[in-house]
Amino acid sequence: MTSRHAGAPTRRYVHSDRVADTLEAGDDTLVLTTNGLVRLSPLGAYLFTTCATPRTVEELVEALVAEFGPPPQGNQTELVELTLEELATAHVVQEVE
Amino acid sequence: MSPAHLPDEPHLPDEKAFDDPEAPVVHRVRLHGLDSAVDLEVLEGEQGPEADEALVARLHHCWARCLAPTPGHARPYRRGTLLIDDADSYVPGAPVRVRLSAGTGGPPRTTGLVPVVRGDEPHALQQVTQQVTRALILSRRGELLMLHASGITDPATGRSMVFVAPGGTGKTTLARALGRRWGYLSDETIAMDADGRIWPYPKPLSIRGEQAYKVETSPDDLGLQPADTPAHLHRLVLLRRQAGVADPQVEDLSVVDAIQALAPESSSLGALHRGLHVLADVLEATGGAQRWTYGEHAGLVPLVVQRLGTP
Repeated sequence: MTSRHAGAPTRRYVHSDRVADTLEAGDDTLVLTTNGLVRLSPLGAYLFTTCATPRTVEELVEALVAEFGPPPQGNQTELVELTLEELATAHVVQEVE
Repeated sequence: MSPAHLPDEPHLPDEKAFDDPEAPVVHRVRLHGLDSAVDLEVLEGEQGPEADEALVARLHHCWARCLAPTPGHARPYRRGTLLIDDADSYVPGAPVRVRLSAGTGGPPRTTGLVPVVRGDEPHALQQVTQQVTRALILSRRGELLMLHASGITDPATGRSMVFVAPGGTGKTTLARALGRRWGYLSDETIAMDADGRIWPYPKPLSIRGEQAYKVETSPDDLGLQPADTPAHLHRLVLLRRQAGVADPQVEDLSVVDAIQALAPESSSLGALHRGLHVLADVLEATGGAQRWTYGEHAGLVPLVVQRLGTP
């Protein structure tokens, strides 16, 4: 599996320092950060939960495939990377070296 | 005019700690709300002693409901105020200062670590309300669940209804309309413990009359009922005003939908330990939040009567 940033240092993602609280209610996961409240999609919630300890994109994709099987269509790695970028923008996760 | 006597507890900060050599303090008054307090200091103004005395009298009148500690108060105060434009600068014990000057004054200015409100009386009073509110909210940061809301309470039972809405969308008008029948808790900030106990903040109401500006008005002048019985949350309502709605529409919200709507209308929710869980617990304990979509405030009275009964 190839990262979009091949050659760059391996990025790992973990819960952001700005996360103040999280709440799971039914199928929903809410994350309260210092910037506001974020309601996560199922994929976002899975990635957030898995990033309790630092994870690379490759580890997250492998975990997703192991849990739910291969995606019916599309590139799982790109989808995970895009979702992680959104989560990072919302200060739900952050990159660590 | 000599400085008013202040109780021993808590200790006021050393005057020298603040870089405000411009004018002496001619009056001090302690204002209570959210089960906290902030000291307000009137500085010698530019309009003469008579104007200062008139300001002091007006302040006492407008803030009459906040001159004594909240009934049921039983904890040491942790008073404080803030450095303007820097919400992280919490300065326990610092007062808010007000000084009459010529003209409308402009935004509050920070002298040392103390916000100083300046201007003619109407503008100064309005800014005092804003600064006192901010100081009280910051003093309870991390301790209480605080919402941008108005609230009323049944004087017999303490059962209370809280109406959450963004600024400028009718909280004050609703407090005026309902507060004549039920006890007035606040028209701006409702603060509660994790168990739903509400700590009132019966501040002056900013009323726009025939003047071009809003006038700080005592709840006494508006005939609002007192809220002396310990208040607790009975039902939380999100208000949505929509022109043309004749009969109010009531919608039950899931806990998640309610939290999503309430979070932007909260203060320092992230600073409250497990704030989302506190909010969820309060909602579940009171049957969840509702959204009331309405056209005119009068249409809401029957809904309140259904929930609180007739006072």
